[in-house]
Amino acid sequence: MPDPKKTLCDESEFDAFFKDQVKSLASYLYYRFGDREQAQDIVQETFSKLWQQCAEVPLEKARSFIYTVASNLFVSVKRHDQVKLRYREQAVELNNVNNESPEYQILEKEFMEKLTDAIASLPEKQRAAYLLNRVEKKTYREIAEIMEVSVKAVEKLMHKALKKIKDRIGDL
Amino acid sequence: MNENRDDTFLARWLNNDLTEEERKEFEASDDYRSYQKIVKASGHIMAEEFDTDSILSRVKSGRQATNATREASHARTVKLWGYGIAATVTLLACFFYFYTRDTLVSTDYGEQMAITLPDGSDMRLNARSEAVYNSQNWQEQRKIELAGEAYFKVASGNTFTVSTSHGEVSVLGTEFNVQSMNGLLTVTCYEGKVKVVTSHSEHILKPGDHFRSLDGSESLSVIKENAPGWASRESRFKSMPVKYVLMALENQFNVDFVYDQLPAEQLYTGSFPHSDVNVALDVVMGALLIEYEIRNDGTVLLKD
Repeated sequence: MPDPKKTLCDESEFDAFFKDQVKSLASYLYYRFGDREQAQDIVQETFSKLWQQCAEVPLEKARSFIYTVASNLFVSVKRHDQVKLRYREQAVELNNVNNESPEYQILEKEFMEKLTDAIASLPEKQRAAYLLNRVEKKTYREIAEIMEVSVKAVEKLMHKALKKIKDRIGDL
Repeated sequence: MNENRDDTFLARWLNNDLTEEERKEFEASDDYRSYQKIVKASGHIMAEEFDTDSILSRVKSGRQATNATREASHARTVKLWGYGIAATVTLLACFFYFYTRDTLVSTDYGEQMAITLPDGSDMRLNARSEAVYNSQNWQEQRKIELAGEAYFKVASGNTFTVSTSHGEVSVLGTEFNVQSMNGLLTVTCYEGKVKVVTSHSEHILKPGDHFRSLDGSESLSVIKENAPGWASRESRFKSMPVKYVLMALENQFNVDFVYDQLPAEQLYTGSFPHSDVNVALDVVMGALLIEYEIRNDGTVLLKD
């Protein structure tokens, strides 16, 4: 076969790049736009485009290529489902297992529901930044690269997100 | 809200980037506990899981289908024969767009695919297999690179070659099956004549001849079937080392086996159906007298 150079047309290069990037991309799309199924479909379509255009996209441009293509595809889709976040109920209860009443445990569950509602109703960029940082454990710099903004902009999104969540949950 | 706090204050707090003074002041403030509770609770939100393996296999199966719709590329890897034939039509249409490129077709766990080659020859791919060929110069050179297992019905014409990492199989017009994986090459001739060339030897197979090369040791035997079992949704084995039977089970059902040691010299003669993983495991393990347990994480533990 042709292609003596290392390119994404080389299947092992492509697979390595895919493995490296797919989870970040899928999580980002889901957290930002909601709708898991659409996120998976768009991830697939995006990597299919990359696979087909492997000769035109150099390896160092590939990351920015997939985020740009995927975001454009998502924006062009009209309706999105809300983000539905799941949490570890056991962990929530375990924290209170010793000295808390059952009523208190129910309160904790209620709190998790309120929290996930509050996160779901954040503006999309704030929600994406917050969840990438808190759930996916990405650094601000990594988030900045994913969202193609400055680190400072990510810090502002994080600040606003946390403040909005608190305001929405109200008195704790 | 405290007016000392700028528009990145909370972000810096999360990152432990506040100055000592800022931090002390924040911890003494009214809303500190609320923020602390939100951040702690956020840690209980679970990361979303995505089925990345199936995304990748759909990406790959869509390589030759640029001009087809996304729906069509979903149909490329199919679980049923009927759909496989429909997909073949789409594939043929795509040859006109992609005649300059190598065509790659592949199947995932438990899938089979029917491909009609440019000269009308048929190729059926078994699960977890991959074939690459060039349809542009197909008439000059009928050559397929194969990893995995495929069954061919070759239209008569010039030499038709299946190239594997374990050797080359070439024919003029015939029906045969090639299986190539991890040290194992088997070739079965169902019609016509098949020539097998490995690094050690050269053989001409007649209908019913079954050639096997296992880690370099070669043998010839005779079979009675007139098509491979897997084409009718059953995997058949004759005196096969257990590890290849396990590999075939893994390819069909996407299961993982966990074991300390395999009975290395034990051989399996028999079959398993592709319809039900539990039946298949029962049949194989029952015959081998291996006790097993399907664990919660989906792996299969083999006991001594």
